[in-house]
Amino acid sequence: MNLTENHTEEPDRELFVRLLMRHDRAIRAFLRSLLPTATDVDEVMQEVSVVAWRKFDELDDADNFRRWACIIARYEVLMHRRKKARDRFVLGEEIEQLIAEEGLEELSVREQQLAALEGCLDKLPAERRQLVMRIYAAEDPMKTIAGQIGKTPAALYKLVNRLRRELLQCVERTLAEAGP
Amino acid sequence: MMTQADIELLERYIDGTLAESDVEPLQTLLRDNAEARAMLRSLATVDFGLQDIAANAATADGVDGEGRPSLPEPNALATKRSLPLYARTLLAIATVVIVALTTSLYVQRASYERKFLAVSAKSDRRIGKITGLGGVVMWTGDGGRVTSDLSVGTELTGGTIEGASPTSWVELEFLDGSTVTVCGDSRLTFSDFGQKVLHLKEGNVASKVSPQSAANPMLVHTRTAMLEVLGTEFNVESEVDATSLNVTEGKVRLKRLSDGRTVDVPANQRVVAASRSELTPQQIPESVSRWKSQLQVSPDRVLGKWIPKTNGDDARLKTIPYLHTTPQGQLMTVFAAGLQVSDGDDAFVILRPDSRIRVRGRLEQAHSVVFFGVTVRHSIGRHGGNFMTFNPALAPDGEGRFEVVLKARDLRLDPLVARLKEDLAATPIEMIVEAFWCSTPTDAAGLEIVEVEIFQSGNK
Repeated sequence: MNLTENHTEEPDRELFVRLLMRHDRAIRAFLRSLLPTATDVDEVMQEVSVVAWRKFDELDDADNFRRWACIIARYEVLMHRRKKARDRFVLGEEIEQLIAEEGLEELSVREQQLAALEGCLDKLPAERRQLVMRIYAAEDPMKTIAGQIGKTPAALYKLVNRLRRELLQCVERTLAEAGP
Repeated sequence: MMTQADIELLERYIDGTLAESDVEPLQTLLRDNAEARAMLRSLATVDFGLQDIAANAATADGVDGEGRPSLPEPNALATKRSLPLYARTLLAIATVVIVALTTSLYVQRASYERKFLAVSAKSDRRIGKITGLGGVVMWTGDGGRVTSDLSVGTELTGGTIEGASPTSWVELEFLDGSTVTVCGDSRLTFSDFGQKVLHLKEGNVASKVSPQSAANPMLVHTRTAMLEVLGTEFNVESEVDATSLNVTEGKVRLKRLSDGRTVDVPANQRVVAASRSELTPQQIPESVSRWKSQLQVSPDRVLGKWIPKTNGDDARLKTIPYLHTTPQGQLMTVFAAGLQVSDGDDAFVILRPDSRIRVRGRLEQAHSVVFFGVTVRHSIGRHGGNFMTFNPALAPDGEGRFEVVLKARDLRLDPLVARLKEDLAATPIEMIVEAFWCSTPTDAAGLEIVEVEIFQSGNK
């Protein structure tokens, strides 16, 4: 797909916005595997979108947008590391590069996983689903939520991890059933 | 094969609840086990997906599942959000567009002056302080103590200051407000016992000198010349066999050491002091916006390991390790190579809004991350900052050769010096290009530069 209209210099900015909205979640999920916190993901995603906007006229094919934006994301993670304290980054740069490089090859799968997740969430018992949503909506600190449901924070983290694993298994099952 | 303990380790990483004792096992697990890396990406995907669903649900109705207003507090798994994620992204773009349309600001000198007025009580020994700093800079002070633990505001008592990488720079301000800026791989010894005396062993120094008494002018010694300065702005470059002096304002007297001849160099003129060459000031030539490296001819003015031309292979410049300091003072190693662009002998090279930088090189690892950058300065000689960019479509061929064309307008201030951005240029456009450099985070990338060219897009 040609990104310029009538072969002018100015790229199609409307197309850019549509592509970014379409792939925003996949790019953020890619970033989440490279960054220690969701807040870091938010910070870096803003830079990614700005750089992608500026470089959009260099993209040859809109079909490659997602991968191209994730390569930009990989660079922006390194830029982010330059300005943040190193001890915030548990993973060394070489490991991060491995995760990023392999992650670039599975962007489609990750996008499918994200699409299947909502259906899997609906399959959880209502009480569990509400708990997950409450935790992820950042409504209350984990300590408060744990106290309200009569658990220790550590036990609550364990429960969340178990639910997240169940959701991951459900997502993988869903994709396997849907076939290639 | 992964164990339950491995999975729990990954989960603690995702949750942000890792203990210090977890870090090393996690690094080992992720380095050695592809399945663990895939699992980490899966967990990260689910983690992000849940956050996204929760954020959208809260935004959609403004209440949570139990009917309460959604005014979240952060916990380890989540982050505060009041807008859908994509809306935040679009806001970021909108901000850039507004900024691009309304401004191309250059930072004013005023902040330096404010800082100087705020100088605290003077010590007897200090002769100046650092007012700008980037990259790793070594200072050898009184008693021969060597330190790289320098920051803006550090007071100095004279000594030798030395850049340790192509992107290193430091600006010193003497007590009378005179400044000297040392860039790149330069070495400057300075003192002030009632008379400022600089010894520039090698490299480049830009200086803005407040009026000095006629009896005690500032003296600048190089290998081949001595400069007497009463108050002016100039740029001097010292090489093994020549000294290039460019005067922007005022007048500088230069004495050539080989024959003792002196010459006064007025504003907007330059002179090169080398033995057996004409010692006559010339008009500083108009700046140019076109430049090409000469790596095939010689390794002059390069930083890195120069590899001469061999049968079938062009001459090239290989990256070597350099240290950087993060804003938090931690050291990190990058692998970099650099070339001086504007030098004292030729016209200054300026970046224009439509300037492009074409880079030909080689890369051993096809998917390596490569940053490209320039160090720029203002026409008066003051350091402008290091600006960098990358090309997301960098694609070496089967033999590792690549060619990229970078846009000057994509160059951004290096995050390492972002805290100094008020004192640096907002953009490298219309600035003099001091040096070009490129770097990779790992040596395994095997980055080599064969040729660099700066040109305007309409002229190529």
